[in-house]
Amino acid sequence: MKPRRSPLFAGIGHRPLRTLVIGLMIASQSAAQTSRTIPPSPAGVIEFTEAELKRILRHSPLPDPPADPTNRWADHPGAVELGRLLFFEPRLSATGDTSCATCHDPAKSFTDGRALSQGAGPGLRNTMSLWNVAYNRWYFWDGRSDTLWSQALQPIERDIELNGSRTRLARLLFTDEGLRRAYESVFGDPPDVSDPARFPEEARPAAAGVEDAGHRAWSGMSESDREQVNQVFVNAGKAIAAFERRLLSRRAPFDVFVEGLREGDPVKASALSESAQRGLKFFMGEGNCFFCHAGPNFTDNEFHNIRVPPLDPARPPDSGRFHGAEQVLRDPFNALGPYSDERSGAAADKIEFLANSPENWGRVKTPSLRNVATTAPYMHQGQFADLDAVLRYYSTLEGAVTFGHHDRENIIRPLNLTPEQMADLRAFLESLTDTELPPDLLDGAAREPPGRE
Amino acid sequence: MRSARCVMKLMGCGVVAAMWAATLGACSTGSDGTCCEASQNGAASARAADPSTGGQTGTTEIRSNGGAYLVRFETVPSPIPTNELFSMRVSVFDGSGRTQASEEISLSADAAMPHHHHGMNVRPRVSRNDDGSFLVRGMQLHMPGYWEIYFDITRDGRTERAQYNLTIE
Repeated sequence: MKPRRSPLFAGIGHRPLRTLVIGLMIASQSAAQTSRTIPPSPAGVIEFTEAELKRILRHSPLPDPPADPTNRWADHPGAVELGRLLFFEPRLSATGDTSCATCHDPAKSFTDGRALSQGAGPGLRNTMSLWNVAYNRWYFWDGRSDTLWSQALQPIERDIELNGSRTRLARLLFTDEGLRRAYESVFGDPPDVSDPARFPEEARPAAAGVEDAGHRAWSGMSESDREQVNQVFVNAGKAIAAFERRLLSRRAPFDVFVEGLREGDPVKASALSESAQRGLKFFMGEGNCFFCHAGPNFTDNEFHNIRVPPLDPARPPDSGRFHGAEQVLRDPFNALGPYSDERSGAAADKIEFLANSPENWGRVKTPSLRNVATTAPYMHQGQFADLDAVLRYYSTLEGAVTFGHHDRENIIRPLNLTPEQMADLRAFLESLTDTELPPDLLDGAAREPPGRE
Repeated sequence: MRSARCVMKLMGCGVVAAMWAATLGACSTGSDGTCCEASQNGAASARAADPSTGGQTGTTEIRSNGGAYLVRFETVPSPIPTNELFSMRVSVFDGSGRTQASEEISLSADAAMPHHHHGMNVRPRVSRNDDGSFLVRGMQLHMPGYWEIYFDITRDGRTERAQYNLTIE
């Protein structure tokens, strides 16, 4: 049976209620109100409904990144510099050849072009790009970190990523002249970790039940020595976060177009082709894409199940947010933990009110769409090689999976896109590209650190 | 510390009812303390609706499904923001008009998108204000669309639900 053309989301599925709500919206919006907020569209702009225009305006500009009070060094220039050095530093890895930039390669839009990441071992998920991570509410596909700095810590020690350790990191910061100087300029003298009897080269805590030589070494350290190492480890994470907060993409052709709408400027409005404008209209209208790709960073920062078939059905299913929610609650480096610089307020509320539920099974985080055209392949296991494959999936939901007995979110329906609509949507997604960055953020070359503040 | 799900005890609602009746003039209060006869039964009665979001503003009154209670709530911020944490100040009145001076009432609050088959990604916490009303912290409606907010009121092992429906953009 040919599927009925329908909006992407069930959305306002209750017809009488939908009618009522739409009626209220129409009744309330006088022409005078509209003219105050939305000027007449300049020449070359296709026709948008008032609702679509309001949504479009809500998606640009992207404001400055929110402060991160859990990281008092989040915007410290010296921390940015140290973070840059650490981000590109392969000596953090056990094999000495893998850094953050191995998977988050600036030349590849801070990802690696692979379906699944490849570090010290084969990865289980697609490498997420780092564009605009300063805006995230949760980190990793499953949101198992709640701050950027705590996110940065996990790959350093994870066996399939850098497979390093916090003592390796502390020893490197103590012994390497350049790193030590950069560290001192922000945090003061690093602790003396030169005694291998007290500070083994590879010591790290492991999850209960995991056999790990690093964990045995960690268990043999004194509590005060472990605390010193933890503090260096956390400082490194906060510095890496400070660097990553600078990886911003805020002025894509779409943003110029929206400026054109606001200002009635046809030149700026011409930043989007007619095809891209039609894609935008579908995105903000019939497609209901904005339900999840919401706001100026094109993500709601939450977790959804769009039933994408797994890359390898023979592998155990990815539990996604179900496990991630449990992990972030237990993470000693979360916003409520002793290493957070602000244990109350919005960051703490995220943890305090976080709920896990069966419906979290298989959910993954909504990725930002900023620079999406530069970060193929797509989805949490890189299931789709290009944007066309993504759009084909949303069009047909071919191969969509369910999750057995787990309650499951049911938010998508086939879009039944025409070839023209697919081309329009692709043109719109490509209009979200802005990969301009200051060149001094793009490598790990030693530079004079900024003065201590 | 994670408390039991959204449950706190409320005692002495009568004072609250009388105070609100006096200050808000929201309901007709009889000599025996009856309250809220003019409110709608079972349906949301937002004082003012913000059509741009569908969220209510001001004070809203809803009747529990069994008719035993009237729930009056207001949100902070108001109207309810999409995908942001908000709080609710909630007061529960006896539906028969008699306030519950000595009975124990517990309240839990939750919300869901029934058409999407999911609830919230947060677990709100309920505490009692000095005036006997409840404070529900940690509500978050993370998607646009149709939501139902549930107030489950339990007394003597019997639970009634009051439900508020809204659509947010």
